[in-house]
Amino acid sequence: MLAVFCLADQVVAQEVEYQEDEVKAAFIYHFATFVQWPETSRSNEVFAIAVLGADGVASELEQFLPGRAIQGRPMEVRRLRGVDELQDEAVIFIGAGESFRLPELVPKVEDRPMLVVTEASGALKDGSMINFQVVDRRVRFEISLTAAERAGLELSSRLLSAAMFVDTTSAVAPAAGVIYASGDTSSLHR
Amino acid sequence: MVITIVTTFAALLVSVVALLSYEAREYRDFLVNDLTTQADILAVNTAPALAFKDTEAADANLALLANRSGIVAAAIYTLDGSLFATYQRAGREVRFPASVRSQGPQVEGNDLTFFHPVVSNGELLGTVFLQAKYELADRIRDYLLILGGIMAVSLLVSALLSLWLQGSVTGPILAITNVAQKIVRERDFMLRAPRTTDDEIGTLVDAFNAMLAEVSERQQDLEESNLKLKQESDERRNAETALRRADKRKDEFLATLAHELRNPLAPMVNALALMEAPDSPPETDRAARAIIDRQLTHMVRLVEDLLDVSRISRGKLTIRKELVDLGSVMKSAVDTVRPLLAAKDQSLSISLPEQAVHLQADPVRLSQVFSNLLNNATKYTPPAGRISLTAAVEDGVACVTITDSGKGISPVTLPVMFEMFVQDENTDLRGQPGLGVGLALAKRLIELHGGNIEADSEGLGRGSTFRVRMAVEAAPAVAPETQTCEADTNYMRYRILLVDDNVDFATSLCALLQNLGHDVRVTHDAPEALAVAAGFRPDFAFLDIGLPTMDGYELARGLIKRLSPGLNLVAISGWGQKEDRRRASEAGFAWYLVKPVDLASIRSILESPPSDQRRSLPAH
Repeated sequence: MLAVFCLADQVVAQEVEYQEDEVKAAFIYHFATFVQWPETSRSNEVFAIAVLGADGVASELEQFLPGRAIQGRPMEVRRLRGVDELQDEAVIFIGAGESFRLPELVPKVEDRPMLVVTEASGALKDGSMINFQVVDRRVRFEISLTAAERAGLELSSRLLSAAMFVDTTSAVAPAAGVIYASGDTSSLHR
Repeated sequence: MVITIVTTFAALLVSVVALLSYEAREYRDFLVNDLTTQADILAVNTAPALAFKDTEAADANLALLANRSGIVAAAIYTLDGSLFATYQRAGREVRFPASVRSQGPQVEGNDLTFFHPVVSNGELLGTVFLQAKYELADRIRDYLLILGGIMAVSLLVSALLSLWLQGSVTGPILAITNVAQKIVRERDFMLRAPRTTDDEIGTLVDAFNAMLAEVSERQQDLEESNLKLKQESDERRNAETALRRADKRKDEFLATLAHELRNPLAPMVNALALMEAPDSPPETDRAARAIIDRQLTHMVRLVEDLLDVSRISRGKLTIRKELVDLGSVMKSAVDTVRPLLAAKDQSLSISLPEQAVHLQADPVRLSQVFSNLLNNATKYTPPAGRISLTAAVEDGVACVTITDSGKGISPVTLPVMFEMFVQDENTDLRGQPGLGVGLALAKRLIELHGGNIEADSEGLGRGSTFRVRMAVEAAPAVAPETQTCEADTNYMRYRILLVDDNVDFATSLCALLQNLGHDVRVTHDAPEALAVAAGFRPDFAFLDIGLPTMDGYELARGLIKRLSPGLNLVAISGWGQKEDRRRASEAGFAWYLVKPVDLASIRSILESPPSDQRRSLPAH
């Protein structure tokens, strides 16, 4: 009887998980669209997104990306089994199971413009730039502007406005006021 | 005034319509542009919300539209067409479109709707929907209110302006109109329009007044000429009436004349028959001669009167004025009527002023007048009646009055007494009624003398009075000398040569002159006359102009050559034209007598010869 319950619960969870992966894949793509990529990174023809320890998201990306492009560069997904397999990808998504590798990865990519996206609570402290959180069964994200700036990436204020939290502790904080009044971005354009 | 306001109104209306249509289009364009911008901004700002399915952020974005009062509602649709976020202004119930429609502005009732795509990284993420108040009607109403106000004010201003202009422009014109109407009503062309300005209106007023002056002048001329025409026509009518009357009288006169000329013939024929009887006693012969003499005298008078009438009607009646003694003229007149007085046993009392009265007059003509009046008096006074002749001088005017106790004059006749051919119809004069010219002749002659004549009568059967008035002439220095002559020896005695191929005339005139005491020789042609004259040395020569072998003019020159000075020539001619008189004067004649010659004329010539003839012989 209990097992039946558990099974049912698991099915529901699986369903949620599936939807969550799909949303996250789309979000990851959209994150990339709100980043001001440096010129140098254009040298590579392919805009690659590395996925480590999140097969569901990778699968969703594989379905989502074809036909899309950023800076005119076609996009592709690369499934990594370890940090060593990192090449010249522009984005890396680290699944919750692999998030312990973050402290190891961050020093490696610190000197290049690579967007680091995670889904573990407290990941921003370990050097993640955008970290997913599920609140009320809705996928939300938090941003560390400090980490992004350290990597030389410029995040659009519109992206910041959609974030549930933006960490600017040691960052230069280009527009702190704007960040906290996230809903007011439209008034900036008026 | 109405025209001004209507045109102003029309102009304003056109500008209002133009302004409104421009405003309507402009308003729509502005609204669409504004909405497009708004939608653009909204699309950019909501792109992350759509991308990250953040409805709260989307709601927050939309909520900012509260600042835009014009925007009624807004919504964001996802790619699959479902509503992602909505916004509606407080107090408005909006039904959002169920699905995304074609993009671009669309008017729905009082609202303008608008769809705008949300694109990020070249990828369509969703659609923004905006619904804004499309307040065209309100705006137009506001505009109409404003423009209506402007129009009202403009019309008021233009009405006031027009009133003011009327004062300065139409005022003077109205004044002219008033004057014109008044003139038409009262026909007073002396009215003038007042001139108040120096501009074109002033010129108009001047022109109008000048025209009035011209019209008034013409009107006056017309009235004058009308009056003149009327007078002329009246005169003509009067003249015509007078002519008719004169014509009628002339007809009557002709009838009378024929009768009058025939009347004396019967007694004369009878008298001749008596005289031709073989042994008629001397008394019968004398009686017959008296009859003939009387009838002939009457006829001569008739014919002379007739000739004078002819002269009057031709305007040829003239007088030869000289200084005369009124008394002697009256005496000679009385002499002519003595036989008549004697025949009717009438008494004539004569009263003259003690002092001699002198007049400037033609003695023959004046005597004719008096004898005429006396003749009338005897004629119209019954046998044994009384006639008086009085002369008096009052204030330098000689007044000769002839009064009779005769039939008098009817009041009807009195006013026309002195007109030609008038005879009192009530008189019944068997025998010698006369021609009805005597008084007309007398009046004319007295008028020629500058005097006047009037008749008066208290009525039929109560006698009549005739008065002649003439200015008195101061007596000349020589007058007494003349006056000293006795009445009977008034005439000088002259040697007179009489030349006329008409033996009867010459013989009878010779006898008359001899009776007057003159020495007379008669010849019947020029050579004989010249021969006789040489020895006879006449003082006067009476020459007929129409002589055989040598005419009177030539004879005159011949006589003057031999006998002048001291010879006085008198022409006797059947022609009395001016040219004849001129030739006679050139030939040296001092007088010109036209046949038939009356004795009076000859006597007056002999009584007043030219001064150089004074050396003439003493009485024989």
